[in-house]
Amino acid sequence: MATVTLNRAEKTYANGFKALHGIDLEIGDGEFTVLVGPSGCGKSTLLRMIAGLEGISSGEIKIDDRVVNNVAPADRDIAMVFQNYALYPHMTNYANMAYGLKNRGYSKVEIDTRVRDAAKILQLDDYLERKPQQLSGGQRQRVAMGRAIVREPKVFLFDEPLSNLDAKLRVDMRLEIKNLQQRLGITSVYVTHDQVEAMTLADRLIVMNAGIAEQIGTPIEIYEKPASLFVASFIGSPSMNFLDGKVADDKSHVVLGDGSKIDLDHVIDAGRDLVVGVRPEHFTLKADGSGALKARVRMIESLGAETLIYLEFGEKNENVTLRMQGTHQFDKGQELSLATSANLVHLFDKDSGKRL
Amino acid sequence: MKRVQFGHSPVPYFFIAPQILIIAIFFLWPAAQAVYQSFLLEDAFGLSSQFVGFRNFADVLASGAWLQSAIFTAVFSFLVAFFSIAISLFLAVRADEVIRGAKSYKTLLMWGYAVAPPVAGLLGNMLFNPLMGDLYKLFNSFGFEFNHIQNAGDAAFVVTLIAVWKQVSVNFIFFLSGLQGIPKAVTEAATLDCKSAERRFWTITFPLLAPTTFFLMVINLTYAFFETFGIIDVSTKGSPGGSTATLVYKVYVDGFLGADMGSSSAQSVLLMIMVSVLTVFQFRFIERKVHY
Ligand SMILES: Nc1ncnc2c1ncn2[C@@H]1O[C@H](COP(=O)(O)OP(=O)(O)OP(=O)(O)O)[C@@H](O)[C@H]1O
Ligand SMILES: [Mg+2]
Repeated sequence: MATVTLNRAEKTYANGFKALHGIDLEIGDGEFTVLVGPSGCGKSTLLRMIAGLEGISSGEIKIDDRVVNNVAPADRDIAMVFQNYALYPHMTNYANMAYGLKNRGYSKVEIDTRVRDAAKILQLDDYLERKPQQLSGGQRQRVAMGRAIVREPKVFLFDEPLSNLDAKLRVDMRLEIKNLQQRLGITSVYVTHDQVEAMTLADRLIVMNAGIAEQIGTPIEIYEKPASLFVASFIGSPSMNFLDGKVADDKSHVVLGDGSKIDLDHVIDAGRDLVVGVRPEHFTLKADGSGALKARVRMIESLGAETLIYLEFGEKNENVTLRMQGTHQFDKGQELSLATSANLVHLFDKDSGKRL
Repeated sequence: MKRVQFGHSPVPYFFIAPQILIIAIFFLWPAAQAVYQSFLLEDAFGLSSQFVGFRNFADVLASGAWLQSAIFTAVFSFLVAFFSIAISLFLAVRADEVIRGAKSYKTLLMWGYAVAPPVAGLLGNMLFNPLMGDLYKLFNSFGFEFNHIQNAGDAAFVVTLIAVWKQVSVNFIFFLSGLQGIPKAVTEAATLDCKSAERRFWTITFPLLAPTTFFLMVINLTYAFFETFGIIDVSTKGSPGGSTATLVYKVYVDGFLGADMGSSSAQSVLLMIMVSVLTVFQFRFIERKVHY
């Protein structure tokens, strides 16, 4: 059981590119931490630094109380699952799982027990004598997981382990990983750019952007109180609606582009420019036309359980998305009246993008 | 395996015709000539010849010179293949690890590839020239009493050294691309599983390079058998006393310099048979152990 601590961890690649600008992070014992962010934001870099596959340019990485900056990957007591499995193609699946144990001097009996236990958990009993290329993608990823769990490491590291699998298998494996991690209670760091994976797996979510950790919190905290415009737009699908506005003179509401008003529940300086964020699921449709916002229907997507309605708002034709349960039908160009409540509205500073 | 049959069209034959023609003119025809000649005995002036059955073969096999050459060829080929593979593998693994200046290292190591065998032989000649050869002087300065003109062992060392040097760059290129074909993630996974770099090499890298190694073994043995002709001709000419003549070189010496066409042809036929057996053996027994 272990904790992982990063103190101002920075990474500058050999070509001078600064991939991480000082990450501070504390991962608790047995915690499932998910790193999420757009492509190229430095998620893999961070994970690989914890693994020891990339050096650390400045700062400190600790596993438990030991600084591991200069410790060889094999001595860090971590196990990693790679996106493209990275199995040893010339070895049987059994040998793949046994390899790390063998090199650490475990006895044949001990190795056999561990490999067979892991195989049972992962339903790989029948495939142990085969080679990796004789397995399906999902089975290969299970062997890769098996290779990690037989080691009983202090920390599991996952780099987008499910992104090569098809949609259904991904859901199954997601549940399997969650189950396994809870059962074994091993501290885990998981990289993904899939929001659903991030929201469902994480005890704690780290949203990264351009080499910094924008926000760290539970998935619900991040959904309910995104710290910045970036986090607000990145978490949640479809993305949050953003509308430009100005605080009214009496500070009771914000005035939007077309003059419509959204009530405020906390005090902000009058006349201040800000961005109002409302999630698509937090608008309600007012059939009597009493809503604060009037917008015209541009397009509709029916998904069965829910309907996404894309609207245009104001003279500048700002886009607004509305998400409703069930199926609905509207005409193109039809004007809808939308309302929301003050406690569901997010306010961001227009210049810094920070939450107010 | 099931084969799909398409309607026959003459076009494919048209396209492979030039290749077939080349093979027929430059390979099948001379080979047939050699087989034919190996059953004939010519008189000393090459004016008449008579059919003598397997007598040429019997003479060749009974002669000590042929056996000596066969043994030399076997040892020489094994050493050339072994050392040129081992050295180039070592260099390729090292060059693959280099990050700064990797390109210049690789280019320099590949240069040898552009050197033709006779030129390599010539370079060797100069390096080992008793009057001005640097390596000759170097070895003797250590008190080795190195003399490849008279000492058969030293002469064998010289041709082996040149042959290995010439082949290392070719092998290097293949090994380097073989190494780059190993997925980075696999190597990284191994770094997490095994601390010792040497052990990682023998358990992961080397088995994954096995197809390349096998291929190079075939290529290098063929090279040592046939293509070292140029090196030998320029450097030792088989001396002293035929001790550095490979079977191929001996075919040339006996046939073209000695004008004994019957014996020379019989030797080439034997060579063909040996190479065929060797090739079958390689593919049958060694390739099986290779993971593809
Ligand atoms: N070896 C390298 N040398 C120089 N720059 C690199 C190197 N590896 C990655 N980078 C850069 O560092 C940044 C972060 O890369 P990283 O692989 O961590 O992204 P990521 O968040 O994992 O993205 P993705 O979701 O696409 O996997 C990228 O801009 C990338 O171009
Ligand atoms: Mg990545």
